[in-house]
Amino acid sequence: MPIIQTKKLYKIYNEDTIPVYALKDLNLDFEVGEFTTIVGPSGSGKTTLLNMIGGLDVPTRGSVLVDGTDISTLKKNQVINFRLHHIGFVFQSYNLIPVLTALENVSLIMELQNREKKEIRERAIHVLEEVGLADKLNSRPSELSGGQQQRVAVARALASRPKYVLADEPTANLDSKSAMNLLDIMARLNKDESMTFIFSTHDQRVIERARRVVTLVDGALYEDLKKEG
Amino acid sequence: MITAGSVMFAVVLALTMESMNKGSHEQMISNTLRFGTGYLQIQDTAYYETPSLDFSFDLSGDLLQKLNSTLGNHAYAIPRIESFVLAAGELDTRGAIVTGIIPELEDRMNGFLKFVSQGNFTSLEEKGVFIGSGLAKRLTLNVKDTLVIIGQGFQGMQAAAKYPVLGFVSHPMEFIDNQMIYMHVKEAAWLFSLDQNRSHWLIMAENDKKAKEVKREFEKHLVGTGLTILHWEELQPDLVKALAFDSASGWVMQIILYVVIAFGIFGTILTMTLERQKEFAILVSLGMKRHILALQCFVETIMISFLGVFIGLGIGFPILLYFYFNPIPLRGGLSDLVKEYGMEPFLPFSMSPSIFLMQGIIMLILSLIITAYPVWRSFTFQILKNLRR
Ligand SMILES: Nc1ncnc2c1ncn2[C@@H]1O[C@H](COP(=O)(O)OP(=O)(O)OP(=O)(O)O)[C@@H](O)[C@H]1O
Ligand SMILES: [Mg+2]
Repeated sequence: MPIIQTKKLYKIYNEDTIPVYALKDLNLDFEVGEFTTIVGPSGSGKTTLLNMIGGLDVPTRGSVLVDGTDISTLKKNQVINFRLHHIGFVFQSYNLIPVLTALENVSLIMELQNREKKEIRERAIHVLEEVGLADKLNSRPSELSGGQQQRVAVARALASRPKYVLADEPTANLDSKSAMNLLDIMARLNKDESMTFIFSTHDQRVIERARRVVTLVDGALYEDLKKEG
Repeated sequence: MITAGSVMFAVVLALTMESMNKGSHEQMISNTLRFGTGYLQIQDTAYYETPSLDFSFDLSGDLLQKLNSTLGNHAYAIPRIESFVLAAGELDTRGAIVTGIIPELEDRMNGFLKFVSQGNFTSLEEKGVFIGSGLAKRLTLNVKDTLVIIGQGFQGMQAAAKYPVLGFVSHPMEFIDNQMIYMHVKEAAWLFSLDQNRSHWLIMAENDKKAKEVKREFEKHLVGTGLTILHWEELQPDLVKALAFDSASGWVMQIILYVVIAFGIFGTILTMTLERQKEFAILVSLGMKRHILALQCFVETIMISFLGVFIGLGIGFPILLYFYFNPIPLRGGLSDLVKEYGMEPFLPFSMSPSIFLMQGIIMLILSLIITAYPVWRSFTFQILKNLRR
């Protein structure tokens, strides 16, 4: 059974004035262990779709099902709890907390999960090392470049080993070496820990490495390409 | 930090205001008690309406013994004779008040010696008078001059005598400075043919609570004697009313101050909350539950307020202490005005612990109310909208 489904999903902004169809009649299924990218021109609805799946946004019409449950029927706290324990989110605009260091930002989710202090610290340092920021543990976001902040955001999402990682253009600000490096990490986690990845991108080389490519145009599904092997 | 600062500032301000307000009241009361009514007075039941020497009485024997045992060590009684007279110097005649006192007791009651500007007060045992320096000026009298007193004694008896002026009393309270003639109470008794009678007795106590206890106790013994014991609030209803009115207007001022303060603090909390909206949104989007966020905001605001309140009290205390011992002198018109109302021309401060307690509690309640905003906000803000900020 698909782990995430969208059913006749619509998101319409300004419905009563000049309606903007950010998402239009989307019916998508995502299976456990997928390595899927969502592509499409700017404004095609990629961010909106990811927010919807992550429970950050509510559909205008239609529904998002997780494990067969319509998340709009869940209580707010249940949705938040679901996000906390199962979803790793990488935002297009990073959304790091400015007053916290890289290490603290990465530790944050695990702290909210009430994990053990020592475990949190070790795990956070390990993930930051993996994304190549071993020497930036105690830097605040304002002291980091865009690419470095993006890597902190990725590290934060991966550190708690969520079942699903929703990433909004995770490689947008990375040089090609860092981008490929990050994709290697993601691919390995996908394979070794069967983490499910759904990420949007504009980057052709990233698209090439995905096993499924969902293309949106003007909020509607344009193409859903599954590669074999 | 700005919030803590504004709370602190507010506390200091409110403290100072309340201290000044309360201080002036305490001083008014204390002046009235010490130089006027005493805490309690024993009078003939008719004396309050008609303060005539005809309603003087002899408090002695059994009743005096009962009084003394009621008073114990915490209070003491002072016999008084008071009457209006005409006072004449060589050139001029004025209305004045003869007050018959016992010098040691008078000094014990109100530190009278401090106000004696000329002459040796203990010499008042002899035949002679101390007069207010204002009265002396009006009658153009100097020390050793002769003062003539003409008045009415007990039951219409003539009361007239000549007295040497032994010294002057300079007092900021005008009715003392301009009207008072002090002589020994025995001398006054002779002058007014009162024998053992006294016009009334004052009772001084350690504090108002003790005084009220004395009144309650001693009242029993006065049944059927034609005498009564009155509390200063009964003797000075106008003062009580004036103080109540002043307190009320003081409260209005305080409320205005608090509203201003509350808005000030609210402003800083508002900015702080709005500035952190994005941070809140990130936290919730990552999985922090809103009620935990709310709790965090609550604890934070309260901690900040507590900090402010305690620093405020900490700073306020020495400031008030300083002004308590070094009251601000009043100058010019205000000074005259205050003197006219029988007060010393200083802005007195109060150090009553209730002020600190009240202001602290009020500020904490205010901040509790203000905390409602960030708490409410934590429950209601929209995640996506604030993520995009
Ligand atoms: N809050 C909003 N109010 C009105 N319109 C919105 C709002 N958020 C998004 N939109 C519109 O919805 C559409 C989809 O936006 P979305 O951000 O999902 O696009 P995207 O595919 O992520 O674009 P990009 O590649 O630039 O990130 C756009 O036309 C956008 O203008
Ligand atoms: Mg986007």
